[in-house]
Amino acid sequence: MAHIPEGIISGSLATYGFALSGVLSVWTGRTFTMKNIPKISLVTAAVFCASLLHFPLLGTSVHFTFVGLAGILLGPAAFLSVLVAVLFQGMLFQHGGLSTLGVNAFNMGMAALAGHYLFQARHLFPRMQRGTTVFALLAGFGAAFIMVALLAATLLLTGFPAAVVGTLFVIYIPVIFGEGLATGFLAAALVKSEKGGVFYKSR
Amino acid sequence: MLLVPALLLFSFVSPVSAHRMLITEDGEYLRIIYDNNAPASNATVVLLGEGDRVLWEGNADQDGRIKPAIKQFTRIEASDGLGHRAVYIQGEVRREIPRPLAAAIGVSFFLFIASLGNYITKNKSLTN
Repeated sequence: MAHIPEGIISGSLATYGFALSGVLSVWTGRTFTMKNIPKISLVTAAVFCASLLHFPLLGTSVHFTFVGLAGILLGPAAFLSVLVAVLFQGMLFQHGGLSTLGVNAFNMGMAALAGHYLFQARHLFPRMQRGTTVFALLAGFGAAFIMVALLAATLLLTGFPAAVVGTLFVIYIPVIFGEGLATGFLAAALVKSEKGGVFYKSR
Repeated sequence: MLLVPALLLFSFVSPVSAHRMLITEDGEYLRIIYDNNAPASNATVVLLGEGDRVLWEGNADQDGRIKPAIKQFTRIEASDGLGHRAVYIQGEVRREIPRPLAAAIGVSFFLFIASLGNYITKNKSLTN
């Protein structure tokens, strides 16, 4: 699900979402350069389309987000990329609402940032064989896990019963695994074709 | 330069009202589905009258179908308990872009920005 539609969360929670997303956009936007715009735009297009890869599961509908992938490719700028993708998903696919844009962008953008930091942790193990693939896999899993945890927290703050947390994680297990595997395979393919330069590098 | 494609894009945009869960009329039944046509079999449906007074409440079956016991209402709300929600107002006309076209519009916009960024960067490096 990932996108919270209109009419679910309270006005104050929506306001907090906009405030937090705004602060994080300014903070992560510092890494934005004109040189990066083509790469950021292409990754944003991929994240934008990812929500069309949905499938029915246990009476509900879930979809991919590829926020972990955005994190390993864009670094902190992934937050802004995800924010723009969520805005476009809301406008063109009616996934999520405009009043919940802040909360949705925060939940998914934080997941992208988590993916970035998990992937950066590979530098702590420089001698590890296939470290890039292993940490990309972890980044994909971790980002999707964080996204579901933040979504669950949002629903709990809104007044949904605590049981919804367990249900969300059960429903999202295939998505968490799918995102991890897709991110890991992509990283492995990029390394194998010697295109590892597309991964985010801090200056 | 970005204003023209942005204005074009916003002119195509439909209002955010139906979200990912949809309520459709199917004869005497209501059908609660997701936008990939999968039935929302966990959905709880509430029929509301004037002043948001609850008139009737029921659960959708395995196919996402439900037959309301009453026919006079002003609004229907459906929720699957996991954050998906749909609202249906009698007589409301929905204006939606077909999904493939919406995807094409979005991707075209991002490709345009990517091309523009690439063009500006290359021009800058040539002039320096």
